[in-house]
Amino acid sequence: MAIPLKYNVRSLLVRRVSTAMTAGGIALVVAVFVVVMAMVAGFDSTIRDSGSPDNMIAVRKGSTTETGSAFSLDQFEALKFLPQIRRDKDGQPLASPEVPVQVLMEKIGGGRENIVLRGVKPVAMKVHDKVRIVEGRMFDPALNEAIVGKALLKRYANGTIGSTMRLGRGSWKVVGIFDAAGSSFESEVWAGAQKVQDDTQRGSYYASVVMKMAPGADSAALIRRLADDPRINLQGETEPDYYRDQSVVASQLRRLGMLVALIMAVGAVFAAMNTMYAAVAGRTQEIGTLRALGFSPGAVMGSFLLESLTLAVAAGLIGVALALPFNGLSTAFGNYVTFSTLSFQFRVTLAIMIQALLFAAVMGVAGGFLPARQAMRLSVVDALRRS
Amino acid sequence: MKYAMLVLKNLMRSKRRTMLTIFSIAVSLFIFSALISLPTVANELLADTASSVRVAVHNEAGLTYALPEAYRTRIATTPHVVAVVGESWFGGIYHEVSDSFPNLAVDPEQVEPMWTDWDISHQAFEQFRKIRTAAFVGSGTMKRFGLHVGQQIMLRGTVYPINVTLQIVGTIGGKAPPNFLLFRRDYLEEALKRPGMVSIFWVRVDNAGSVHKVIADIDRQFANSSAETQSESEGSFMRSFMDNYKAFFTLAEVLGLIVVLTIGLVAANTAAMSIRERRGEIAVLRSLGFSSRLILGLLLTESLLIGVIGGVLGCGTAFLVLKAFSSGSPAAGPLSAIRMPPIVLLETLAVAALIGLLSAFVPAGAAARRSIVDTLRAVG
Repeated sequence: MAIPLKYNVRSLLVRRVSTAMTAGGIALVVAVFVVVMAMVAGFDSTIRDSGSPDNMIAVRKGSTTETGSAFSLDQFEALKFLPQIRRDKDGQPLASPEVPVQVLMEKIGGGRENIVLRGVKPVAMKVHDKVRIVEGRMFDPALNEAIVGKALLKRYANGTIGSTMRLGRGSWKVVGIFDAAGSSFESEVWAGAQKVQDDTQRGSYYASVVMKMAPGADSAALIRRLADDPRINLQGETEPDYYRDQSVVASQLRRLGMLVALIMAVGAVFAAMNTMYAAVAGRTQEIGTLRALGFSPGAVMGSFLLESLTLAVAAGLIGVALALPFNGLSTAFGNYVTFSTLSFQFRVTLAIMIQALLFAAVMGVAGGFLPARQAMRLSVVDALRRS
Repeated sequence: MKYAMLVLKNLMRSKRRTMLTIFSIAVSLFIFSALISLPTVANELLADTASSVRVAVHNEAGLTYALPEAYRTRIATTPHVVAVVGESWFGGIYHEVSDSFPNLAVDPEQVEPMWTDWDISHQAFEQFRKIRTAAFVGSGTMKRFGLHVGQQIMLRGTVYPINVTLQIVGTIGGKAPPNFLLFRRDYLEEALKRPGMVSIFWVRVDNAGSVHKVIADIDRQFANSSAETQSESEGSFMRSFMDNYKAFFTLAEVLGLIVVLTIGLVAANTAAMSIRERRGEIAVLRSLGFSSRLILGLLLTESLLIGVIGGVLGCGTAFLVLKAFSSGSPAAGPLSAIRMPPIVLLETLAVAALIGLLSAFVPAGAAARRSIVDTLRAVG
């Protein structure tokens, strides 16, 4: 028969201060875990959400990012009528040639930061189906007009409709604000492809082309065709693959965060062990009484383990609660793969919260195991005699 | 000193508890010192460039916009300018994208007067001027990939559709960033068959006092041209790079703080436990004539010792681990440049001592002041 949980809860409450301090330690570890994971999740999904599973992106062979790529207009002309590329209702191929360049943008409160100015043609709005204008209108590709990603407004100056921004060598009139479902495009400014080419003075070139694949098209065949056709000679990748590579920073951060949380957890486990050993030592007589009443050694061990687990899970809940205010907080940092600044939000997802509680539970069991075993091994007579 | 045995005996009384506390302090301070090394190293790098006599000149529109090569002679004739080196970003990769390090092509002629503080020998500079495929490699990158002077390496272009084969002629040391690779810009331009564009001009001025004047002079010269320039001191140029990682540094500092808080709680809890169990003894000591102050001192010494031992273990391990990291394994990725500055060692030890003292302060104070009669009676 098991010892009632009430016994453990009351025991924890008797040693209020000690319980609170141990729980506080575990709660902070859990909070750190949640905050770091929420940050990584936000950063990661901002990059990954940029891709659509039915989109293919092509860059110059050997390039690792579109910002480090360049190819000629002829290469684009050669690929745009490939059968694997979807057409719109007017028969126009949904292939968007793009010229993303890094430019310095003025921050609110001074200083400048690298962001991406993307030269596109109007077809881009059909290919990137998550991008839609939420305020104002589309730019006129013949004019120095631009539309601005929603995420930039909070961080940079002159992003509002009607104002003029200096980006690159030119000045751009803001005519619209766009939303991209939280993806990295929201940290970009879009303008006419030709205007952006003119601004860089590097002649006529494209850096990437994004294609919407026809339903049922074989992406592997399209990748081969892009690579093998001598007139095209480009390196294709589906967008989910491409953006997964772009988020290596996120996986490095995740590893680092896990490591920090794990090492902190070792410290917290030692602390929990201390508390539980003290609990066992302080309640030797009680343990003897329980055993004399007929509770088995296993029940005693289970009871102490449960006590440690209860403490840790309660602490885990507090830790998650401490970290929750971070949800939705926006921040930005440099993605050193693309060398531009990405704005994103912390995301405390359900999965992270569950992982955090499991993490807390593991700490509780790890900290409680040895003391609980010691409690189990006490002999009834000795335990009762000792005072 | 005559009380040293008493303190030691008390520490050894519950060996398990003392060990657990020391280990949890050590583990936490390990992570604390590793975390704050990151922003500290960054700040030190910036502080080093504060007195620099170098100026970076780039296109006003941003670093991806180039400047014409011809600007070099015009910059060189500006008063107070001692040397000018054009630099272009190559962005090649050695093995894989994930183990990349910055590699740049520079004009070879004036590299020597430009970077006198990089610990490169005169002979190595000579070779750099003589051999068209010569390269200087940062000490960190050399160690990380097990490279040596004289070796040939190939970099695969990602920004440009070419590969370059280079011969290492020297190691970059001193105050230079440890992971750079420099090779000759004339070699790159020839391979690209597109001569004439430069990303940055590094300019060395005669003394730190003329930095601002030179900056203004250069920018004025190219104002209203098709490629306007923005000149910055080396410090401000580096800062704009580091600002990209500011959020990362802040995160490291905040995490460090939380770690200290956590460990403070843990240590306070243990100290309270161990003192509570000894109330009876403390009352006996006091009735024997030990003053409260002496008892407080003994208890604090005990806890201080635990903190400091934990601190030494923790930051000692962190120091060794970071050292092992920075001297090699490619697995360390961008963290390979990290090391632990001496100031961090000191900070960690100070934090350890504070944790030790503060954690025992409240319970020890209470125990030392408690009425002897009450305590003895309660304990029975």
